[in-house]
Amino acid sequence: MLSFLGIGKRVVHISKSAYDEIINHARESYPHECCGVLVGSIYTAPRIFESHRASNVNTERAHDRYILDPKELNLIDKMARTQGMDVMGFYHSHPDHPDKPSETDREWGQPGYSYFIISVRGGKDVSVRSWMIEDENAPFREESIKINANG
Amino acid sequence: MVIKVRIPTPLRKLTSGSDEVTATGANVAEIIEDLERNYPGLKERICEEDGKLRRFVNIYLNDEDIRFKENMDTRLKENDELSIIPAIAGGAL
Repeated sequence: MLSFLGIGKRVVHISKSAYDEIINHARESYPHECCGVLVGSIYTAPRIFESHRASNVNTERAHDRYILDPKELNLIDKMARTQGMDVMGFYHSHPDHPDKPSETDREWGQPGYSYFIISVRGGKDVSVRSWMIEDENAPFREESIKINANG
Repeated sequence: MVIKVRIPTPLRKLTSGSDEVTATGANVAEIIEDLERNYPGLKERICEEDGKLRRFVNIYLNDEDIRFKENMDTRLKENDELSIIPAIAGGAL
């Protein structure tokens, strides 16, 4: 009940520019799923400063599945490190499906990251929620997204 | 030879929070054995029981996926860097 009311949720901060960019990417990719990497730092809470588009290499089922190109993730991770940042999480879109993790999302979900899911209905209307897993066998729990206008 | 290994977030509980560690070995399999000696539990998060790489994990030698090289037998040289990269996937259905 507390979690339903938004109390007790972990907070993830994201810059407005990164937030707007992941929504743009989701709309542009419709009716296919897009994906990308969220980069930032942890202070008292995770803070996402940048989003980086990545290729969905699941070309056979791009309308309802994604595989983020690991080669691109390796390069983005190295770049983040040189800037004193780290990979905080990932985003992907659900064209004409809710912004909640599917069974496939849970099967592949890895602990410690924020997973932003962008629901895109009809290529236009969007909603965004973020989810994380505490440890390998735990379910996804929703996080509160706090958008920071100044970075 | 001593090689730097990049540890991703999901495995840092096993390395006391370190995002980069060093390990000794002449190929990838030897590096993983050495990691297991120093950070018990790491190997089962990286490998299946038969020693093959788990599907949730990729290992990059510098900028190349070891699956496209000689997998666990991929040999290492001075200043090489290994990165353990999580496999990120999912989707609406």
